[in-house]
Amino acid sequence: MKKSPFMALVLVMLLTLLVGCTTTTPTTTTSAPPTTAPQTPATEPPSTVRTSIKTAIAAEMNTLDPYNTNTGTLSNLIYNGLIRKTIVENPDGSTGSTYIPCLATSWEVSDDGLAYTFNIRKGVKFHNGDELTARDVAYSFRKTEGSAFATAFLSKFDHAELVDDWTVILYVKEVDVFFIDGIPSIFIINEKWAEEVGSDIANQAMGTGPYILEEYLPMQSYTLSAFRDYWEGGEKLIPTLILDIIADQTTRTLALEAGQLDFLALPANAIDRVEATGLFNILYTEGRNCIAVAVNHEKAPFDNLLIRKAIAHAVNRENNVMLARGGYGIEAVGFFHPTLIMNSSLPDNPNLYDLALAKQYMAEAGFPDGAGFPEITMQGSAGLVQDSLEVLQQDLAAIGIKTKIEILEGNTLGVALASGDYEMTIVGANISDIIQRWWYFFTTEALDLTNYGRYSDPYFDSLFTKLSVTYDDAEQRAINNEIINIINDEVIYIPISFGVNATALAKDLAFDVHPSALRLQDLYYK
Amino acid sequence: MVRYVTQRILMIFPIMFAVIFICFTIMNITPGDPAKMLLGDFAPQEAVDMLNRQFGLDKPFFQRFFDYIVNIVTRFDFGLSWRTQRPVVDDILLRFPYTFRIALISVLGSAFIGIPIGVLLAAKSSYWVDRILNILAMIFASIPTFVLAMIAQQIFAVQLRWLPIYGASSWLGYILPLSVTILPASVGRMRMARITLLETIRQDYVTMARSKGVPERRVMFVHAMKNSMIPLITSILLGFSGMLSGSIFIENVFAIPGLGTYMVNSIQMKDQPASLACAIFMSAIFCFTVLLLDIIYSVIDPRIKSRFIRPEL
Repeated sequence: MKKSPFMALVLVMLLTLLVGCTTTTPTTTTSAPPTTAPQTPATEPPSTVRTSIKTAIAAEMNTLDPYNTNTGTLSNLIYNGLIRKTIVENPDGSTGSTYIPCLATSWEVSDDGLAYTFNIRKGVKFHNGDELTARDVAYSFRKTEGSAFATAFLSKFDHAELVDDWTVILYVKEVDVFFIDGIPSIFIINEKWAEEVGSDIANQAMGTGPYILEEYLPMQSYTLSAFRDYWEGGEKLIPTLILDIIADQTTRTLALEAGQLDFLALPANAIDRVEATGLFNILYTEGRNCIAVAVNHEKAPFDNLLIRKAIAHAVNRENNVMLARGGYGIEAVGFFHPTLIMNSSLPDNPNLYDLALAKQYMAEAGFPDGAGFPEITMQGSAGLVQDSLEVLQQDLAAIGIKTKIEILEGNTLGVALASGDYEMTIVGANISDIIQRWWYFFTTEALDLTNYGRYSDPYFDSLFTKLSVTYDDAEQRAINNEIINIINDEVIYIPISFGVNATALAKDLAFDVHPSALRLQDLYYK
Repeated sequence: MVRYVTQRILMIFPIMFAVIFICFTIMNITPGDPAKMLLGDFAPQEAVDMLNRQFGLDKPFFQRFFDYIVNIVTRFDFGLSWRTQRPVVDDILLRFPYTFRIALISVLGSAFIGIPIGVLLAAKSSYWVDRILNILAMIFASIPTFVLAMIAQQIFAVQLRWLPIYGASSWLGYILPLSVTILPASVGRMRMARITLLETIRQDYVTMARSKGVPERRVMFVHAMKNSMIPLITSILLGFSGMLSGSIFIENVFAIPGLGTYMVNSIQMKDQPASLACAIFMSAIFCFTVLLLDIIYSVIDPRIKSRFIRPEL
């Protein structure tokens, strides 16, 4: 009897170990099965070709409800919008982007700019076999009412009116040229299906896109199959596409090297190693997110234009690309990437690397060789920004500016930047195609949001307002140029570099490369 | 005994209330706007305000706290996750089995490996064994888990391709994460078992038992082992509790869909209902672990219980 506590403990340990070792079936949530005949793969691959392709994403979507999330990796595979963006060549030879039809075949804006009429494509099928009609489009836009996520894209949207089975009119509250920029982000869902699933739309997905969601294992993976009746043709689609969720960047890369993934976006430090395996082709594409120096215009000495110019001319972009980006970057001569919509033929940025000129500006500002210049604190986050700050520190030291670097946790940094409690930082400007959002880098209205330079000028603000009510292309371009000239002349931000994205692809795979980003729907067997 | 356990259980309620209040306050005073974090930096203020209203953040702090407590007490409702739009209890129950499995097998595995070896080494103590053990312990204690994890992944998944590098879809996926957690913990348990047992067998009552001619095996497992149990059990149970709340790293590196990853994502995104529910869940587990420890202590050593219970007159 005296042995009982020890023996009991051993027994409990044995039992629990046995229980713990048994594998339980993970809880799964699967999309609603199609109501029509079971779907078959779009193409029957050759017998030697794998039928499923696996990649990894860093995080799962917060929810599958397309109107309550702004992460679109998966949504873009399952759903379509009315229009989509594509890259075009401008008459002057430069590149730009424009919108092309998707689920809408055409659209027109009323003379007063308050109504957008969309003609809906006929013959488009949802994954459940139902045919798309304008009723689904009107329903989808009505679903966005009350959604903060949709409001973020379509803040001026008022209501949708169903004209007939193939025509829908979207009304806006006030004239906004850039209303159209939010349209591709609103995915079209099937009214009947959405009413059936109700709030469970957070766990299910069904659209007109190239892939059908077959299985969703929370925090683990999404399994998709090619949609045979995809309106753009499903011949080249991969029969089964598996997106595993792996949060850790190193694990993702190791999984690729171990042959457990077929393609993956690579960090710069893994490119050489993955290339050396000989198992993958590396595809390079230009990123459009600019990293830029932001100085606080409200604080001395950065309220002095000469100091801002001195810093701008001291920034060695080549060094940044080599040291902070490991050579995988492009020097940014302007804040906006040339392929952004309406951004062609931008004026040149005169504030490029010129150490002698930088020193001259410092002397003119009263700080020859940095003498008497206060020590500057540069705040930023870990990773690319920290690496870039370290390179910038050396650049500024060359003109006699002493700096110290403070690395802050993301939320703390965000609050410091929004409240203007900083001197200098580097921001990753996630410039989207939605020009409306450019306001948030520059205008007085965005001072406590994302106007990191804290530049404020009523005339400059008015240019953005004017831009939002100007339909004429030439006039828009003229306003754009004026904005860019002011950005350059006032040195509101100092652009440093754009990234180059590398993607490893198994040798039997290829992408139809989209210049702005690789889209999974463009992946196919060679 | 019932009175003792009841007393200990009643103590959990004020502790839990304090935990909820502290966590709720911290979530409210830490920097960052939840709506903006979900919508993105460039969302218009109108959208940010709309989402914050939907989250109830336009209400005063104490009203929100009161509503939160009332919902928990009356309906066991911890709210909807701001991120996933699902009930947080559902989210937690979906992920907890993975974390529980890792924690349980790790703790028991390390106990099964470490304690018998520790006992054996205590019985056969020698200078060289001590040295080797210390070196081993130092090595495993000083290698960070993430390095061990990367080495294991590199050797067994990338080079040899014997095991999957990530995932929990099959039992094979558990081998690497469990190895990485069990190995260092085993060395720790081995050392602890050996040291506590060595200390015990030097006690006078053990010498007395030996001098009375009690067989060595009986001396070791009945006289010495029983009194070495308390620190070992404490280490095992607290290790289990620690693994439940601290398995985030292992889950992250090996892409195991457990609670740790969910908790960290929720905290980072300021998903208040999810973060609070996770914190409450973890602290409840810790409280019940301590309660279990107290009960086990009182069974093994009645003197401990007697300190808390007044003798009836």
